[in-house]
Amino acid sequence: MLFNSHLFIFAYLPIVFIGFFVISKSNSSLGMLWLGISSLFFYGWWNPKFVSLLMASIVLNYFFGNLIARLNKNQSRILLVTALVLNISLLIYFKYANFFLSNIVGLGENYSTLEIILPLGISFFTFTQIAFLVDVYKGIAREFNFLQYMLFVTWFPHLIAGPVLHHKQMMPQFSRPETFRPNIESISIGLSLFALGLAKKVLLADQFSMYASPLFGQAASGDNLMLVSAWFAALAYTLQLYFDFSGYSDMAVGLSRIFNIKLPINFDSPYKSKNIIEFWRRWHITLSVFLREYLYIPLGGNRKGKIRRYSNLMITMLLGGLWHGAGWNFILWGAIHGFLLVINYLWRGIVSENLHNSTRLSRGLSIFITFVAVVFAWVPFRATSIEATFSIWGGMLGLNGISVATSLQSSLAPMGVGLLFSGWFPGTALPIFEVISWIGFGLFIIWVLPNTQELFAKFSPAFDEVSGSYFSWKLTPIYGVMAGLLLAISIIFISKASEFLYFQF
Amino acid sequence: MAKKYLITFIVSTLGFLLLAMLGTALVDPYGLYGLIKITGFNQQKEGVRGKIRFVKSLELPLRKPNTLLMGSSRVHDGINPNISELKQFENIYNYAVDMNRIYETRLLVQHAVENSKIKHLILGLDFFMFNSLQRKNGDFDEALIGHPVLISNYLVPTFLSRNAVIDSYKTLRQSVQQPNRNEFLGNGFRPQAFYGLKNYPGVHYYTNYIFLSPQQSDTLYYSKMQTDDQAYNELIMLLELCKSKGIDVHLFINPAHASLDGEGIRAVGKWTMFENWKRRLTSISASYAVDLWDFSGYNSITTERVSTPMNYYWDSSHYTELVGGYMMSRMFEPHNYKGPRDFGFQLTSKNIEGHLKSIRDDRERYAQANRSYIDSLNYDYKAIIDGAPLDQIRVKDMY
Repeated sequence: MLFNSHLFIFAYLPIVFIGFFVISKSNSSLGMLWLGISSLFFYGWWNPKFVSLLMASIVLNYFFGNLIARLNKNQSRILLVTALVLNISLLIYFKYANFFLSNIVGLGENYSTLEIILPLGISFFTFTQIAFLVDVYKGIAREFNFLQYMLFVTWFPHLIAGPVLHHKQMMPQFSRPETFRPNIESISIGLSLFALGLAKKVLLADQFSMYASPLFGQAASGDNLMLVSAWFAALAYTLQLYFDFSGYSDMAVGLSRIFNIKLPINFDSPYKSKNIIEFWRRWHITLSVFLREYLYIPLGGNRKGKIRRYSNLMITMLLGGLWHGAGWNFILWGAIHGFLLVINYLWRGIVSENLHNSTRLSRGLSIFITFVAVVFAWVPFRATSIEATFSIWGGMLGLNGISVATSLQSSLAPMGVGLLFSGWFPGTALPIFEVISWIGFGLFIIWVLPNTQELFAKFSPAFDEVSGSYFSWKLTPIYGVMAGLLLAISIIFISKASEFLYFQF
Repeated sequence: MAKKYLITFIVSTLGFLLLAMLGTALVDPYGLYGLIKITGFNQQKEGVRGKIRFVKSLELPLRKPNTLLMGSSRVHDGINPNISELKQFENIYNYAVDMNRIYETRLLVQHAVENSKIKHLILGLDFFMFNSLQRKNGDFDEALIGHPVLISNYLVPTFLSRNAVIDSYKTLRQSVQQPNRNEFLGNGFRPQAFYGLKNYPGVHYYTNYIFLSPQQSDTLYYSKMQTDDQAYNELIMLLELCKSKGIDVHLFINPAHASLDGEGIRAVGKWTMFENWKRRLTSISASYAVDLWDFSGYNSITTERVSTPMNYYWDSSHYTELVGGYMMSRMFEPHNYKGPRDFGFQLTSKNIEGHLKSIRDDRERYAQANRSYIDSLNYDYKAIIDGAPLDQIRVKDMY
């Protein structure tokens, strides 16, 4: 089921909400069971077949977790390795089997790909449970209540596209008595976050996708995008992805909050970052934390000298890229970010960083340079192939020529500067002023306006404490009407429920 | 404080949604409900434009017809279900859709059968419907077709969607600006107000350009015409379906103007393919014992002189309601037929070859009698086929 569907908003959510608080009144364990079953139903709506896969994964990992907690260090180590191998094999089978097959056997051309459907959210629920097992092994976590464990993994707001949850953040919330009583403030904050997230998705992300899709489509079919097309393709996708995924995360945090459960924040205005290191602390935060805790640090982190540190960074980012999908374009994306991070750390080694003493201008410049680097890096993330990636990069650098409006021919052609006059976006019917206005509006939002959790900072909307900004939301009737109008318009704009980009990862 | 916020939030969300639904229901941009009909307010249903398959497929279960008129825009604009020539049929709905293809037609018939008790099908056929390079068109959505219509199919798209709101606004604007305009009557027929034409020759040439130019790749008309067995199989499947449901079927070939479905087809070198198409139709209809009428060719209707105004044509592709009446009379009320004697011929396996030959003879006679017209037409067609842009053809005197 999709958050941005009428069925979810008008049927699923009210039923689960009322059911939970009515049942919890008499028995909180039954209330939790209700949420667990509802979450499985939410998951099964897409493809009931995979509910059993999800349940098998949960039961097995719960069993491993319990055993690891009870055995001695050596035995539990063996068990942990076995469990990790099982989890990762499952992920590799569903996600990467065809990729490896086509890259290894493919050299001889004669291979057939397996018909594998990727179970929704498999990387999210696998990672959540790997973190749990490692923490149990380290003695940080313990869980002997199966119901709580099941809900921790399946909890519908996060199940399909995150945030990646951490055991120690969630479990205490499942056992608090306040969780099981409806709370007006939680419901208000939760619904408001949901409305803002839905608006980000249907009013902004879907709009930007109308510009990104045809242009990336041209590149995929072999056209060389020219300067204007290439830049607007990259910018539109940069905005689409942010509003899509951060909108989804806002909805997840908001939905969970309605049930008195706070999720960790996943985005903190990433495009306001002044360098790449900061970008990774603001973009898809829960994945970055996971990769740092369970990949980068176990690899040795920064404890084994500079060379090891940088290679660990590269390995982490390459695997982080591969996590997003089985394709060379994702590996390239990871490699670019790894490379940028290494440069960033090297730079810090040369110039001791002190951002507080920097001028406004230099901060602005840093944000701009970081943003441009991120925009370039998103190109392989979206382009379907390496060829299309290089074609768009070439276009952004002006190597494929520049085309401007046909109407400018009479005034510019005599100057003989080598311009083409086949329109700003040759081969598409995209209107230039509309595209510029929307992109400008999107950039205004990401650079100037406070983000969702800053707006709601004083109500501590998410698990992490956040500080406010120059403007904050108030729980007054006027704001209630504004939120209502926003939600109503967003619901009307759900014309064809479009899937969230992060479902595929 | 939070309580007041929450109440205003929820009440205003529902309030705004209800307001939007009430607005779209009253304006009724798809003409499905007819709660209020006020000229100068909501008579011109702009939502139908470009969504004809979607709207008609939702309208059909509401109208519950027993007789279907189907085909392309030629039937859509040319045959009014209310004419007396069709009085022997009850409860008729014009389910023709623009730029139709035979594959779509088959699925639309299936949709109709699942949503209404259909007894008669009167189906107009066109050469381009069998184009194998493009099997469906426009707003055709397989997901909607063939399923019984559910509440969700109405509630969401026609009341509570971005399109419904935008189409309501367009309907209001057009209805206020052009109170005389009313394209959609509710029986599926699109009356002639659709055209509002001023210069018939210009529109004529423009239409020919659309059909013949190789640059019109998105419509894939005559210049790239190809047929294959799959296209004919769609017709066979359609007839099988009707046979199994006991539906009585009548087929006919539409009479486009001879400058298009005559000289145009000849100019792109598809005349033999066109004749073979008629042969295949004849043999298929014979094997299902279904009658097939041919109104095309070089007869008194199709060779009407291109001028302003014309009696029989809106442009070279679309005939007028008068011609539609002649056709239905010829097929269903022959004793009352008042049209020209050379218009309409019932095809059988025995007479098809003779008929094709007589059309060829008609063409030679016509060409000799109108030599200069034919020459100038072919001069234009050659330019179109060679890829000349629209503004270099005689179309420039349109409007």
